[in-house]
Amino acid sequence: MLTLILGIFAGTITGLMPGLHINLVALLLFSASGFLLDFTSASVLVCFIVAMTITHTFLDFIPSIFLAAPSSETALSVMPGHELLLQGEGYGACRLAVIGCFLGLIILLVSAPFLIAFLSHIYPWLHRYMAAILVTASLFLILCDKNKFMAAFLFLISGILGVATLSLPLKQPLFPLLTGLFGTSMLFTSIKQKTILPKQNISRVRISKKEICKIIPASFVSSSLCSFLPGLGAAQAAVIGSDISGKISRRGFLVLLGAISTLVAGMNFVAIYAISKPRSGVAVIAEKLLESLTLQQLWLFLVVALVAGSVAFFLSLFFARIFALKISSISYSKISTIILGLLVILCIIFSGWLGLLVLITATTIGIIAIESGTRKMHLMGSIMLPVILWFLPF
Amino acid sequence: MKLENFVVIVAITGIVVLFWLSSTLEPRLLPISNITIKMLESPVRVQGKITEIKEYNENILLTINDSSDSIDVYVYKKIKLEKLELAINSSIEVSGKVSEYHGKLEIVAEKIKLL
Repeated sequence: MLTLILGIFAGTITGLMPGLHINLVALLLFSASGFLLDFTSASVLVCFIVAMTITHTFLDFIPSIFLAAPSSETALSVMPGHELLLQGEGYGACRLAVIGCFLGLIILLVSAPFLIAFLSHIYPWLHRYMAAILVTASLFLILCDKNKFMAAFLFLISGILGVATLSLPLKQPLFPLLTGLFGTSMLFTSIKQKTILPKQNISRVRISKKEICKIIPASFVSSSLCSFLPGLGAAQAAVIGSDISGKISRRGFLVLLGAISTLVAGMNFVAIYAISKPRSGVAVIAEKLLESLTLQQLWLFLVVALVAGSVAFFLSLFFARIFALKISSISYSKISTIILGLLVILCIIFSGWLGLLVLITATTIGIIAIESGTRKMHLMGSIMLPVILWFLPF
Repeated sequence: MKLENFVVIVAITGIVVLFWLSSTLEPRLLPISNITIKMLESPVRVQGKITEIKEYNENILLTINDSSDSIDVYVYKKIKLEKLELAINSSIEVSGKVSEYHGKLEIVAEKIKLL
């Protein structure tokens, strides 16, 4: 119980603090595990990691929507979240993402037996056809845009930037890449336009059942594709999920992103059991602590995820309410400038001066997308193109 | 100069510079014993002699040894290896990222060259 509470507390802190990643806390825990394992078991430490990871996925949307300071998992939520924030619906945007997170948790628990039973059979097939799936998804995305030329240009230029960045000897290359494309570019534009936020409504934002019906299969399929294959994660799942779901509203998109974020985080733990391959930093630490994962332990962790997610649901709404009530009384330009400075400092700490160069280049490409009025989703070419090139059979 | 033009020039210059840097910069050279769990996902470069080679369908697993320690190197066959004659006792330099498999640290190779 204490482990669960501590995990939820740690996930709340990492979720609310832009740039603070759960991998860092998991690594600290691993460093101290030699001492901690004298008092407790490895399963208890992994329960902490699971509770922290799931709580993080819920709280992570708050800085992304209110401060335009995203992580790689929430980068795509900045644009629809910011648009709703400018309409006084920042709280509603967070609520939708958090509902999505909880929906993802339910899908995870329902689908876990299926994944455990069939994943090892499906995995080689997915690996073989991944390049074809991603090329089709990317073309579909570009051809559905009103401005096809600009969409293709942004996809390619961000893709080239992604290939260059991922070839650099850089620690955490995705941090400056995605922060620049989706976060700092938005902050820079807000500062330039002297954005003033309207008073935020603390009201429920509704979404149709029809959209929920599109979101459930799309989030499950895209998360499954991206949780078990190397080099893919929540960011890629969000792009594929939005392709699979077809046309959905901004509100539906936020629910989709929430569901994918939690599903991918949870499926990373299922992958340790089903295919013996940890696919995220925290999953690697969990596997190292446990050495071997039993089916009973996996179900224990899934139950921990459900309990942590239920608490995180209310915690997220509580913090989103505080942010919504306070944010319109403070100068948004000043907040944006502070967050911009913080992100630059974090980028230098995590990825060095080379990371700063990536951040500046990515920010300018993000600004091109905003100024041209093209959907920022095409900037996910930065991840899609390197992954497509990797999966090509030559 | 208009902001839009300035932004486009910075974006293109940045990409060109990053591409140039990606082909010239290499991760720092380390003794194998210095690689720890704290370096997970970090780029590293090591030199050593091959002590074991295991071939699988799509991958090769090399074990390399320097004077300090040994480590497994996971090589996707997609990495251009055809001009390299990897054999036991060959000295190689590996650049890649630190990873973990079944509780053991390894390097996922991005570049390999014979010394």
